[in-house]
Amino acid sequence: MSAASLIAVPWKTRRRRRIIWISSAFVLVALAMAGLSLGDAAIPIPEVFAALFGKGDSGTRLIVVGWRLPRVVLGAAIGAMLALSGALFQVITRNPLGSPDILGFSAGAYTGALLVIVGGSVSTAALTMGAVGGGIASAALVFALVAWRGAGGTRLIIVGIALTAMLGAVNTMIELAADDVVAHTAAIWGAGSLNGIDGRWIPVILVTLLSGGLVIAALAPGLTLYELGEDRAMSLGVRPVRLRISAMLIGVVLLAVTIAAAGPIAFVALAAPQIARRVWRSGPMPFAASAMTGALLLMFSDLLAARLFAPTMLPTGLVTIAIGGLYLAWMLSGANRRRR
Amino acid sequence: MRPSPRLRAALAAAVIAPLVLAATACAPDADSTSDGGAAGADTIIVDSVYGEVTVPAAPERVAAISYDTPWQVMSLDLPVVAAIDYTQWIDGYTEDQQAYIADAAKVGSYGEVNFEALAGAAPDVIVGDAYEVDEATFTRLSEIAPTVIVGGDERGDWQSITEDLATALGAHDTWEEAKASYEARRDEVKEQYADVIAANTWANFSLGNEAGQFSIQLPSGSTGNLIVNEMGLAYGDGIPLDTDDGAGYVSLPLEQIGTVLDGVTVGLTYENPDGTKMPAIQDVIDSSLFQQLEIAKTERVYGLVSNVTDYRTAEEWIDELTAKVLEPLSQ
Repeated sequence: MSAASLIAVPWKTRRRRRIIWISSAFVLVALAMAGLSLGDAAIPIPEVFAALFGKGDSGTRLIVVGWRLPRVVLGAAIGAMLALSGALFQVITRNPLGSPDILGFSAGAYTGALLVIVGGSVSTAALTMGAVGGGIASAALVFALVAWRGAGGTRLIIVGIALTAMLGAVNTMIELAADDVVAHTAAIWGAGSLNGIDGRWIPVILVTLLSGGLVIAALAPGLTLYELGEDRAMSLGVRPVRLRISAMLIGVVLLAVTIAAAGPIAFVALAAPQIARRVWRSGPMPFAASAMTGALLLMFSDLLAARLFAPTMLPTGLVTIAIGGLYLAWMLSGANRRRR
Repeated sequence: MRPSPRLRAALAAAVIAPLVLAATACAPDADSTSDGGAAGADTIIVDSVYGEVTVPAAPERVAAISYDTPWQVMSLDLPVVAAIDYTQWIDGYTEDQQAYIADAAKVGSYGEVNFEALAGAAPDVIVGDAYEVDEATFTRLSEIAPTVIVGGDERGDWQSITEDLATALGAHDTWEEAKASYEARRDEVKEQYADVIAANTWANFSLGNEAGQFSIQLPSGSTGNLIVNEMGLAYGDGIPLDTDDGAGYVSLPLEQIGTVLDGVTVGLTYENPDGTKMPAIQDVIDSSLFQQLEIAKTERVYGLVSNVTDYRTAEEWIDELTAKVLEPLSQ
């Protein structure tokens, strides 16, 4: 049995997926245009295009190209990265709750970045290193704590929840110990926001997304077999330990770089893969569809965050938490209904 | 919250033109020179926390984006065209202060500037303080208009902060007048009530960072600086005089209140213009531990309305202290 035979799908489903992909692309473009056009200074679409091609007046170009375009591009890319990270962890834990938010990796990456901020640096490189280091350290700790009985299942989730709580306390202590300016900066950043994000993050984010996407594409056949169960995957030639470690490293790096850029944006990693799985009606984890769903979720959330109470801007993370909370409640109520 | 119709109309009318002005305002000024701080007939070069900035010599559209900055600009007799949204704290401000910012565009919340709304207000200069504006934010603000970020050595250094603001906004004469008036009033009150000041031990307390805590204004804080350094009101022995975190206050567990306020004979705190106190401050006062203190038993706890951010508000605070505290105690 090969991964290809597992993911062979009927013609009707393929057609449905094609329609969903095309629809998603339209929604993505619509959200991008809304992000570029809507704001306290509403700019008509023709002027948006003129600005994108270097025409029009300098004020419009500043807003469209200098401020809004990085936010739209980074919103889509960060959403996709969070979703891919969540999809990887949900596969290797074989649990829909196996999201980096819940496993403690987000909190660990936040701790790493927080230590860098308190240390006095806000450079792109230092924040990225801090977040990646913190994320990998927390992931290593979680997996070490459950290693002797296998890394899958509920035990991993419970250890992750415990670590998240502990790291939350550590993060609060760090914020309280910092001077008020640093603590204030950290608190705002800690809510997760795309407000004020600048173009310096575009190369870092896009390179990480592209590299991560290529590695995931290479790992995808093995991960599809891994979803059948560790023993079965081994019998089909998969080396589960190596696969798990590779997937974990990629997942943590994808997550940590987004945290360095925009702070911890919750629930996209948890919700996007599961929404994609249901919408695309996929048995194996649909990584590309998850990335698309994550991008749409975050772009939509960011648009709401920016416009809902304008001119007051909400941190994007607050909107994703609200959407994610609704999703989690819906998922749990669905699970309860199935048990009855 | 939606923008007011007036703001929306202003934004609609000002979609492009002000933004063009804003975008070009930060470009190197063709008229400017670097000759001894003078940049040209219409502009000057001023120092700021993030380096030298060329600003209009007589700005007409000032945006004040930090929490204390609008009131500091108000003390210089200049209007502001934009400020953060004060809705959630508005009860703590006087009618004059509320009227002062009533027509100003709301450009975000504390710590979260809405850059597009700010650009829509078409400021010709943006001012703020370094406690709230980091260098990345300063860079983006400078794309909208020349931006002057000021900051003293301590949170409560309103004297030097307002002087830098006055210089940047071409209002140094007004600042000098306010300073002279304040100093005269301060010295007069200190002399007139020297006995009351010397006979008591003082503290300025408020709500803490969280429930079950209270806070003390340090001499490095805005009001603490005025109380201890300017007015010479001696703090109680149990009060910590400094911390390293630069906040200007220290938040402590309520169970320490007996130790911290031991020996204090007059307690000062904050109250709203309508005479009520913030619920969290009232909770501190109502706590059984507070009620066992000498200041509670002797009913020597006084709420003052004035928020000290500059020489004008400092003088108002002294007037209030005189009327509500020093004069009654001298009887």
